[in-house]
Amino acid sequence: MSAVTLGPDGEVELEASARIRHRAAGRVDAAVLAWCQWYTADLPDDVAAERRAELASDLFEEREYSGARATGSILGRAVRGIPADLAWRGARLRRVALGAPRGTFPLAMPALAHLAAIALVAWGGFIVWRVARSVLIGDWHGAADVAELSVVGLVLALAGSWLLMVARRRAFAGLVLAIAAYLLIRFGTYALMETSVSFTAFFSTSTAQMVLLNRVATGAAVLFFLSIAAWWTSAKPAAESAAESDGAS
Amino acid sequence: MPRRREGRLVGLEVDILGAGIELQAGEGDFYGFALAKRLADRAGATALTAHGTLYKALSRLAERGLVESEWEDPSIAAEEGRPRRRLYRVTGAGAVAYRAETEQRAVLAPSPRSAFA
Repeated sequence: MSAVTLGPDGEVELEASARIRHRAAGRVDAAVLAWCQWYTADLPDDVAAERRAELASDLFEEREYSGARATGSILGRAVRGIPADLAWRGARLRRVALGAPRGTFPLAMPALAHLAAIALVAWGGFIVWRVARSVLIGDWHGAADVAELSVVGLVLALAGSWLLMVARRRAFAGLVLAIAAYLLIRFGTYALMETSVSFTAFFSTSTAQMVLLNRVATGAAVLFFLSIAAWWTSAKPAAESAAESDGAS
Repeated sequence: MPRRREGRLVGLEVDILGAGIELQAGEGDFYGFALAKRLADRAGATALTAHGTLYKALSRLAERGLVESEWEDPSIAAEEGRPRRRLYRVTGAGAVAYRAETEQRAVLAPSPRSAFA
């Protein structure tokens, strides 16, 4: 067996090897590898590197065997394998969680952050949809900057949600989402008011309370995302902590 | 997905061990795509086993000690201008488990003639 065991720099070597593409490889191969990159993103480095390298090798070998005709097969194999990929990822994450030091919450914290980010994107999407609809039917009388800031907020919320999926970028994602939350809750509420007569009427009956509510909600959301950024800035990724505690024991 | 019985192998795992034993008899070891191709050939299928399904099953077999793997020497892959292969071998325990499982299945499988007995 002409083989070597993965050494200390093994992950780096494997990542480099996995970057070799077949001359017939196309967008489908890139999409399959991007999917693999995503579902291995917050797994321990060695596990992630091995899965990516193994898949890169499989794609290369299939291209070498069937050339351009392999596209349909590669796509089919990737799509049919999605449930197994997710089950494998889940099992690996549970293993990381079991080995993680107390108080690191390697599953709960990302889940909470994803949930909050989805809620923010949904809120932003709703506002932008209402504003766009209002503009299209010629019913928009609000300030342009309120609408623009809502769109910027939605774009930042989407970018932050995407960054949140990559374990190493979660601290930065928290900062991006904090800005998005400020824009979408602080200004988005005013944009929403301009699109709804009933909301405007409701707001005007209790202006002081609504302004206070808006500021409290904005502050709470911004603080939440800043806390998430601080959590991931100070804490090592759970996978690393687990690996270290394994090594120490 | 078939429910796993304690200590037993599911269909895909039996197929992987069988195909793996065949491949390593010729080559000494085997890698993911070669295994997927052999599995399809044995089943007379045109579609290859999905990536996720295949590598999850291999990972499960490795955890049970039924297959072992090592990464190919980087110089060989570099020379041939391709990514490194993960080379698998069915272990002694894997060969024993494969034989035991196929024997059990042969005993448990009802003979088509028994329906007319």
